[in-house]
Amino acid sequence: MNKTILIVDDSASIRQVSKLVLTGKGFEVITAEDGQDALAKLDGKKIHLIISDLNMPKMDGLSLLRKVKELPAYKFTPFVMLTTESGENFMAQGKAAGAKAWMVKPFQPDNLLNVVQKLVP
Amino acid sequence: MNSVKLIASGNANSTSEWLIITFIQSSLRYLHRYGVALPYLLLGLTFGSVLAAFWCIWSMLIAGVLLVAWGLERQLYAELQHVKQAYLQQISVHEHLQHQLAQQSDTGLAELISTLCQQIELARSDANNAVTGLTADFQFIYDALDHSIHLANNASAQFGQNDAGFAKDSKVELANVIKALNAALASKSELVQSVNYVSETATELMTQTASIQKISKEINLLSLNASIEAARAGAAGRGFAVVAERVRELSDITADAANLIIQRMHTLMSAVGASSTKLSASQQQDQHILIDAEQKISAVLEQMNSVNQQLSENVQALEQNAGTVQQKVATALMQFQFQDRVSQKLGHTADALGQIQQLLDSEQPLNTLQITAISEQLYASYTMKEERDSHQGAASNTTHVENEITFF
Repeated sequence: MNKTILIVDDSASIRQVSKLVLTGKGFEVITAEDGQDALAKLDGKKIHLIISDLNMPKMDGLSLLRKVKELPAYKFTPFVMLTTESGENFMAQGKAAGAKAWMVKPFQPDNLLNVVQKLVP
Repeated sequence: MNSVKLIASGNANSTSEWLIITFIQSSLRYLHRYGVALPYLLLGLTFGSVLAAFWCIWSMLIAGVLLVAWGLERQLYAELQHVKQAYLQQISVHEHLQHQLAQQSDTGLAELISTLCQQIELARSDANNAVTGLTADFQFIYDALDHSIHLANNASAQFGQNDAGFAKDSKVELANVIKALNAALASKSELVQSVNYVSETATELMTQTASIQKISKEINLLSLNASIEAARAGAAGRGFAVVAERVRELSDITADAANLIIQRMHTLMSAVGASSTKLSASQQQDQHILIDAEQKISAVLEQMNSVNQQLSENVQALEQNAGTVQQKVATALMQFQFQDRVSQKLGHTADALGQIQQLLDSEQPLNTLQITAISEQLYASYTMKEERDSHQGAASNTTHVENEITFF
């Protein structure tokens, strides 16, 4: 059974590009436009990894991360921030909230795959 | 004291009076001190009176002149006051106009900023839609190429190379056809042998039937001799004569049957011979056909192998080209990430412009503190290093790829 990854980003191009990279390696990909949409799409599904943008309308990435960590079913699901933000303050907040990795956009496909394969062996 | 007051007043008429009085007071002091010199005094008084009269006239003239001058000065002062009032009024009107102009300017600037914000949002939306569409199109091209490569792989495997796959299957199938034809030919050969065997058997039967015919003739002759001997024997030989007659009849029947068999056997042998000849001819023809078919099939297979090899090479080249194009498309897709960065930058700029517009809409004049606050807020909203560098005046590299990964 293929591993399932949830991609959360308000940019359609980032969602499509990430999906292209990951489906090319056999991952199942679910996409969401923001934090609220992501929570709605979790819906009890088995998710092996969540990759989320930081700055999004309705619910940002950090809020989503905190909400996800409160859900028993997804408490231990690895969470990766994929954002243009590289400020140490935000990274510290992400780390404190339970993120496993912080990637700065734009990303190279190989780097994204490396991160994914490391967190979803 | 009056003189002092007059001096203090600074008036020209008062000064003249003060001079006359001073002169009289000085004369009286001299008269009191020097009474003996009265004639001189009178002369002096006379002279003084003349002088005083002259002085009075002169003073009146001066007073007249001063009066005229005072009148002119008052008129001038009044005119100056009027000019001043007009000037102040003009200044007031000018300031009012300036204020109105400033207000109109602020309103115009607010409208301009609003328009700029709308244009930025429009550009963001257009760019977003365009890049999303392009990404979807490129994704479609990528998937189509992936499908083509998959098909090429299948075709390559199906056609095969070096006697593998389709060519090998075709060769095997054609060999099976040849084998089947050979089997049919062998079966036909067996049929020819069977027909020949039938022909030989019929010949043997004819020989044996001829023997039966010969025996029948001998029995007929024997029965004739027996009849003769029976006739010689007389009455005793009558029974024997009946038997001999009966044997002769049987011999005739046997001879007729043998003749009939021989006739039928001739017909049969003739038919079998014709069939055998035709079968032999057909067998030879089949052999020729088979040899020809084998040669043609070999040629076709060889040609097929050659075409297959060419096709296989072409498919491989197509596969490689499709793979290269697919990689390029994937790289191009990665480049579409710029839209996210551009959108964010435009969004930050539009937000700052929106704040300036709000301040302008409040009809309060902008001050340095507010401008600084907006600038600081704008700086705080940046997410990209190049934005911060650009804000601080440093040269920004728009193609800069940070690509940082931090594991926690």
